[in-house]
Amino acid sequence: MATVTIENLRKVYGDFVAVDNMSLEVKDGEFLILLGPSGCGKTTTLRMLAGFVEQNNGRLAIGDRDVTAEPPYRRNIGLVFQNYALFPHLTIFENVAFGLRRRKLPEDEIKLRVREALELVRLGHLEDRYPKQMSGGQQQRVAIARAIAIRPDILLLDEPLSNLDAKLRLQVRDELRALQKKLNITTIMVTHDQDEAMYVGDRLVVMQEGKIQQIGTPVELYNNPANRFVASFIGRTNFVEGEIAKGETFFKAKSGMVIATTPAARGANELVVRPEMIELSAQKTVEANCFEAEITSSVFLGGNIEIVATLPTGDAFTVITTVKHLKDRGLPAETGSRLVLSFSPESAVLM
Amino acid sequence: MVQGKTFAERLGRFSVGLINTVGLGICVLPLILILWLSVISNSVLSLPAEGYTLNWFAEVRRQPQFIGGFYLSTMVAVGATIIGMAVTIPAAIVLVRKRFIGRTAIMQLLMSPLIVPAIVIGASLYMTLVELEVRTGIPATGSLTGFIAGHVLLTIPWCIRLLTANLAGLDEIVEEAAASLGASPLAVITKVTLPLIRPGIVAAAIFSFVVSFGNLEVSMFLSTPGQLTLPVAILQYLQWKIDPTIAAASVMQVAIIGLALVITNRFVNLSKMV
Repeated sequence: MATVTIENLRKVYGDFVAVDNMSLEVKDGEFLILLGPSGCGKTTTLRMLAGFVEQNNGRLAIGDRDVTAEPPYRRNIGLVFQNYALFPHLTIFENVAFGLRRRKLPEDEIKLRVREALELVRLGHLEDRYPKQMSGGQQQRVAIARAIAIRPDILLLDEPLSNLDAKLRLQVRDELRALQKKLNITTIMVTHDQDEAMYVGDRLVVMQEGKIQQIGTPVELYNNPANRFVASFIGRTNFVEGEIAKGETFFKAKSGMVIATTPAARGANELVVRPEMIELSAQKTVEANCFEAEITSSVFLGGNIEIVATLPTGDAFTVITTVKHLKDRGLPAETGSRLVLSFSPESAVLM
Repeated sequence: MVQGKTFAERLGRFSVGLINTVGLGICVLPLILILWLSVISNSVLSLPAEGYTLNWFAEVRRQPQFIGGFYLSTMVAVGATIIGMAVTIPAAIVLVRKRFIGRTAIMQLLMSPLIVPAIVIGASLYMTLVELEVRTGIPATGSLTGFIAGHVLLTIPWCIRLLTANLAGLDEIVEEAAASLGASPLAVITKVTLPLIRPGIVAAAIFSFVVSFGNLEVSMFLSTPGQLTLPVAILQYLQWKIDPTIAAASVMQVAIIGLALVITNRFVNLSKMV
């Protein structure tokens, strides 16, 4: 268990800057997510932490231990890979024992620790099997057991759920989260899946083009995205272009639409409203940000319904609401129907 | 499968069956012919057969050059296989895992013994070894060391091909996983890489043995009186006599190699490797 310090980390491949002067502190016991689209530098960062990629510049430390120049086999890091990377020629027991044997532990100790690790992932009864005799979900749990058996200082997870089918992904995700909290081990996970990130992560690091765009808890990132990229990457968003000067409370959209906001801390020319923050009603009320609109598309998603409503100004807003909500209020969902959109000034986030 | 009943479909099926059968027949025919020739009683290799006998197998055992040749061939083949593997395994790992200038060129160069006529290799080796003998005074031609050195050259392209193919199919991530668990670079190779390319290693060893054991062109140049490999001994025998003894010797050679393959197959599935 340890903190992780990343200082001015930089990696360049030819002309391509994979990771651009990244600095980051990971707290002891924290579950941190590196999130971003492919090519954003998240995997390169993880591989530099693991010691498989040598940085051009920067410093890496685990706790008080500077590992910048340490080879992978001396870093004491538990790694879980996307495609499990189990040893196909070894039994499950020997897979988990591999790291312990490299540490030359006595046989009794190895047995104890392997059993303990396999118990944690509820696979104790399958220790004599070979990896190919197991399902993907089981293999990934073995990989997790193998990584934690060595009692690593930190745990690195590289898209650990991406190869699993949808249902299994949720199950292993829940287990991973519970296990991380139980062991209280500092964990860094790379993913491109924002739902997964928000579900398991204590803090999320959103990356793009080798740079950190924003660091924060899921709530902070969702409610106060730092820029358009973060806003569009985390959840669904309605963007409105226009302008507002510092101190003003009205955002003037290019289309002519005027949106009430909280007093602007600085000038801005973009505004975002989350689809869930928009209320639907039949009648115009006296509230601010109340707009008549026509439904231009609606998609039924089970419990939820996604409606796109277009204002006379031409601005289209995506609204996500429940089917029950519409029914209770007697609102239509058919294309061409008219209704009223409203949202509070607090829901209109300037950037 | 339900099969079509039109005339064209029946004809098509018949043609495919015929081509397959003829192809297989052509492959097996020489082996059957050798087996047959080894048991005919004619004193000269000729047809038709006048009768059948197993005497030629006894005759092989009475020819000291065949017995000596068999021992020498076995020793050379075993030696060439062991040394060949010892040099080609590290070479293959470097060729697959490292990126360096001239990598493809080196790969092609190592394949060249397959392309250069073996007789040229034999002649060149002979001249080199003679030169070595003259300079150092150490006998090189006809020595076991000389034979093995020459045959290692023949095994290299086969080993490199089979080993690099196996290594390329091995996901590097597994090696990284081992390293992250604390395995030093040496431990990664001995505990993960080598066990995982075992099929390739076994296949390469078998090919090396067979290529060395059956080689004539290179051995011909390296042989000295009294130091003959089995193929060279057979060739020399043929210069004076053409009787079914050589067919019997060949059958014995095929049987021994065949047996070796069957035994190996019990430990690794050969059909999966080559």
